[in-house]
Amino acid sequence: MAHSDANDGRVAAWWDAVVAGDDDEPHPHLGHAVSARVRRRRLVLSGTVVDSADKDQLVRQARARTGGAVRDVDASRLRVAGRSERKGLLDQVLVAAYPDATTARRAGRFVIEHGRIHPKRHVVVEPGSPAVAGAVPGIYVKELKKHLARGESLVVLRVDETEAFRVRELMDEDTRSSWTLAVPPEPASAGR
Amino acid sequence: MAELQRRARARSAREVVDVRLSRGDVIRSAGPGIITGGADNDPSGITSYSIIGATTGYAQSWLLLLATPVLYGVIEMCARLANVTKSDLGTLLRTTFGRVVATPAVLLMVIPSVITMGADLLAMAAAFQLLTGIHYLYSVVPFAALMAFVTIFLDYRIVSRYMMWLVAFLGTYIVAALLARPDWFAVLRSTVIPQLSFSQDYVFGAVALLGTTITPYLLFWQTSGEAEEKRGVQHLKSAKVDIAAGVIWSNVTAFFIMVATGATLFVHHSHIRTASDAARALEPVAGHYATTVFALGIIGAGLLAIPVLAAASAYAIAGVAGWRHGLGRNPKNAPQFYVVIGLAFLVAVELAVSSIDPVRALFYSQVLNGLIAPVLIVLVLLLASSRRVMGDFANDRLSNLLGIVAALVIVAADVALAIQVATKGLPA
Repeated sequence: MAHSDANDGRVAAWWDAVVAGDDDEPHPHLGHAVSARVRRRRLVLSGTVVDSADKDQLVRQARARTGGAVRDVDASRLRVAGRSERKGLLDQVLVAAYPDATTARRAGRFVIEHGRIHPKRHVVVEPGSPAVAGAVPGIYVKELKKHLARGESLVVLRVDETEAFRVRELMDEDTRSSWTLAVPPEPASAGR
Repeated sequence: MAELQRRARARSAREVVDVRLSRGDVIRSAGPGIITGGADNDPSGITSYSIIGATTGYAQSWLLLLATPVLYGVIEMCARLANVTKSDLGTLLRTTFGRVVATPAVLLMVIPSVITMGADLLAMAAAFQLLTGIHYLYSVVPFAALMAFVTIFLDYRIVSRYMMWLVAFLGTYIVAALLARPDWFAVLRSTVIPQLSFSQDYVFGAVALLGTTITPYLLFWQTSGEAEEKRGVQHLKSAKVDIAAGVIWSNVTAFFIMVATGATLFVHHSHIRTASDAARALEPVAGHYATTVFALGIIGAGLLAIPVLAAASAYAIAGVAGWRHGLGRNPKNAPQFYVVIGLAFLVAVELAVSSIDPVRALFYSQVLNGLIAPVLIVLVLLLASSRRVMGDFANDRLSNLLGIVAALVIVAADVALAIQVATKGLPA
């Protein structure tokens, strides 16, 4: 978030809405993981962010809105998730099916942007595409072909295992994939 | 650093996450498990263990001992499933077996869970009547409204961390059992040497014990909890410690409930027909305050368990339907999920106020759980042992054995129960 927010008009619009009292919308990048609302002229931030850089950036942006309707900022309920998992050890491939290629491309972009992930591989497989064979290990190809035969398109993302929960949630629930597969994690070296 | 290099060189994903936990890690992982384990004994569980102790004495202690590793095996499978597939059980059943299998499987869990909610609500209201004298029917709705509010509008997982201390009262059963001076040799013998009987009390008790110990909603709740925490397979080893600590503590308290009621009510041929009968097992430790301690404990256990039952049902239904779900989401972001929670509370209230005998409702809801559990255990076993679903994290032989034993033991008890009902009818 730290890099992309600076010139993101949607983030600025979200803050404007919060200050105006419309605090129902999810944060453009962090979604419902964080919330901000004005209470008695105090901008109260709450929720959980993945690292302290995100927290610092949110607090900085909130402080930039003080002066008029907002007297000060309360970030005491904004937590940084305590994580001990290491990145770079395991990879996981996730596949999601969508009705057509356009929807699949949009969904793929949505997942990457809202999940704030850095995929090691991102492919959209359309019906008839030969890319399906290399997208996943052999035992899953038949299953993928079944969906392609129905005219569906597939988003295939290879991500760090620590990011895979977010990806699956966005595929299953937010982009409403008709089918999702999480290929079991494998050592990161296997995908190099 | 050397550890990190070893993990980077590992050939299988399982080797990568096979870390050695320090003593500090074990203590940190076990602590929450012990608290959660105490909370696993909800009012229907406490009542069922009390009735079993009062009707069969220590005769089913061996079943509880057997259920301990078996329960651990099943819960651990669920945690592994969620962390490998990055999904909860409802979603996983849908995406693996399709809705034709997933929908009835989920209904099999939801129906007894909502009935258990109703029975637990009734137990809380009956306990409140013991404390205040206010007729239990008047407190059912306020209790349900309070819990629905907490579940829907507050962060239940955070609130529950504070409420878990309410079930510390379960510790009094350990003291009560010691003060009741049971025949420890008989207790030990019953615990390590299976005593089989085909009496009606024994068979119903066995199904209820298995149903309340290896209860179906726990399978869904465990996977949903792991999916919400989003920690992944690197967390599996500490999850095992957490689960083991919780299961052991949960079953240790269940064991002492049975010993305490066995030593006080069974030896005097007393039966549990009301909540105050059940409270009498605490008299050796609490004297005249036994009723108060018992009532506060039941209310605390209910406050913890009922939102979990409602949420587990909603997780399962939302998973099968493909709706947004999660207690971490706010109601506007996952409306269907929270509507299901609200409906579960409404049905539970309806069941609670429909003039059912509270003690019978609590006991028979667990019998129903026992009848349904094998189906779900088999589905979890199929998923967790599949290399296609789990890759390097598929069940080893021990996990498969624990899952198969779990299903077979419950099926055996269910068959015995079916024969009992067919030949002698339902007990009075």
